[in-house]
Amino acid sequence: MDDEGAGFDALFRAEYPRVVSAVRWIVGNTAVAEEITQDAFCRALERWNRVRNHERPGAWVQLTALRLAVRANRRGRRAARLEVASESLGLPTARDVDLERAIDQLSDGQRNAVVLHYLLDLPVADVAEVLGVRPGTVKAQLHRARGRLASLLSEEEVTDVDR
Amino acid sequence: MSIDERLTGLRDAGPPGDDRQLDVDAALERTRARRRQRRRARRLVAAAAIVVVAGVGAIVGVAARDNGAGTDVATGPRDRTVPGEGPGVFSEPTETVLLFSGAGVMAVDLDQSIVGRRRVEGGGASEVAHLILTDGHLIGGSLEIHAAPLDGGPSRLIDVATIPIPASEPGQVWTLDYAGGRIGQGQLTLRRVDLDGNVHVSTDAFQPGGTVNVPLIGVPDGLAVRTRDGVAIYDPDTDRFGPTLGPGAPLGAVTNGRQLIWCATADCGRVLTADLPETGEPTPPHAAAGSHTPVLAPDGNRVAVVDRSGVGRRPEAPPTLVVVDLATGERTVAAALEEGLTNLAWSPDGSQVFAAEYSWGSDETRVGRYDVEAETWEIATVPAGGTVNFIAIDPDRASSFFPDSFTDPSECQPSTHYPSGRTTCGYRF
Repeated sequence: MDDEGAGFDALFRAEYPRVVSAVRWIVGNTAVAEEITQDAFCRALERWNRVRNHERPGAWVQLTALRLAVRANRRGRRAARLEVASESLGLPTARDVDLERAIDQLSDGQRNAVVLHYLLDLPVADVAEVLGVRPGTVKAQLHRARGRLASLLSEEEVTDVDR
Repeated sequence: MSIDERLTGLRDAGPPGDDRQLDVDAALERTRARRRQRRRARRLVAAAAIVVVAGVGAIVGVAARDNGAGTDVATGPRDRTVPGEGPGVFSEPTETVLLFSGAGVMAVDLDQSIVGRRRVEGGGASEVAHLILTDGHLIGGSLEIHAAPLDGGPSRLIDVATIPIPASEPGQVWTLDYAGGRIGQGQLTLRRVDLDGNVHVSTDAFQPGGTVNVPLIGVPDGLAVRTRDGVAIYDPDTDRFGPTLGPGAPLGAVTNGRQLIWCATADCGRVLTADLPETGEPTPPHAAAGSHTPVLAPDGNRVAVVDRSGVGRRPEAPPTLVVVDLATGERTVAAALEEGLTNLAWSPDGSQVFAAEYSWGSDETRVGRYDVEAETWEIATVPAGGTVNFIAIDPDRASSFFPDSFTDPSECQPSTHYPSGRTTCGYRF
């Protein structure tokens, strides 16, 4: 195998599980997450001459995968997400089921912003890039999402988004 | 427990779904197989393009020079390096910046791999295809027509009208103001306004309807209008139409002030040209970009069109990029276009034609480049999208990246410094 192929394989092996896990936050389904992640890596392979010179090739793949995931959700994979999210309720792990349900009741834009920012820990600028909107829009969505979550969970929100 | 704490807890618990061990090796093999599958699909498209050549040549009825399907020399960026900068989008330097409408206005520097965005104020400014580039300004908007200076500063309202259309007079645009708010609804007021909103011409006399459709484009001292019989010139001073210049029911037209060029059919399989009756001073080529409009080269001697006359026929052929020499009628099939690559623009020196994807909500935009001299065609994907329904070329200069694109400087991505010394507010990909 040439250096180029070896480089891609090394990136794939190092980053694949992490990217699948990140995408699963969006689509809620491991199989769909794997499909989307492979699509993202495929795009990286098509642009390998550039991606390999990227400062963080893994970050490039993850952002690409997250964009694809958001787009897939918009196209209707939301149903699959809900289905699996419900299945997950039966898992023996300690999960905040009420919060997960409340997040699922948010609008698509608010939910994506919450997942990317709070659960995937992306800064607002990266969330804006993934969603294709301005950072101010992300902040507004997060603000509204927090209000909605507070209402759904009957709690008071305490801080503003500022990072 | 606060929502913040609960979100943190949920983050630490990990995503929903099962946690089975992933088979990374199998996934890697599937990814490589997917890549091979895509490559085969592209080759099929290229092969299908060969069929187009003969078909299009027979249909259009002008002398066709067959260059084949063009050479798909790239499906991604090359390893070319601009001195002191990173790799460009294409294999050759272009020295151009593409301007798209969409989520505001997006500028993509093909050589520096930088994307910048800016919102142009005005209702619907981002959504409509009626963006016009004139005299260092972007004109856009629906109902509220705004002019946005390329070198920064806020957009300013220049007219309240339904849509703008290009005028021959530099720094001016025609506006169509329908009383009903939509094209064709209610009484029409025609105005020609400058970038400060000063009205130079205004008339209520022209009332299209029935046999007359909306104006296509401004020409010196008038407007080209689609009529029942073809294309004619309307003189707002006399409220009269000149003789019909030629047949067709064009959706768009382009002019250099001396000639008018239009597609005689909606599929642009036939391109017609006519000398304007009152030959005025030559003007820079101008047109509203669109997939049904010929795009004139800067020297005014060639037009590029997207020919869709083979689409839907049996055997079906993809749309093609065609360059027509206006003096000789020679028609060169430059490339087979993947579906969606329908927005065209010439490079400022006339050596290249770019075709941008009509994109709706995508996060990527495919851009094709045809090298007129080398007769090569390549496609690259720009990792920036939104709604792309417009393409315009702007020479690589400091004004192109909209330094005021974000109201809050802290929202600016890390600044990028150009060899020219400019600092941009965008991101490098």
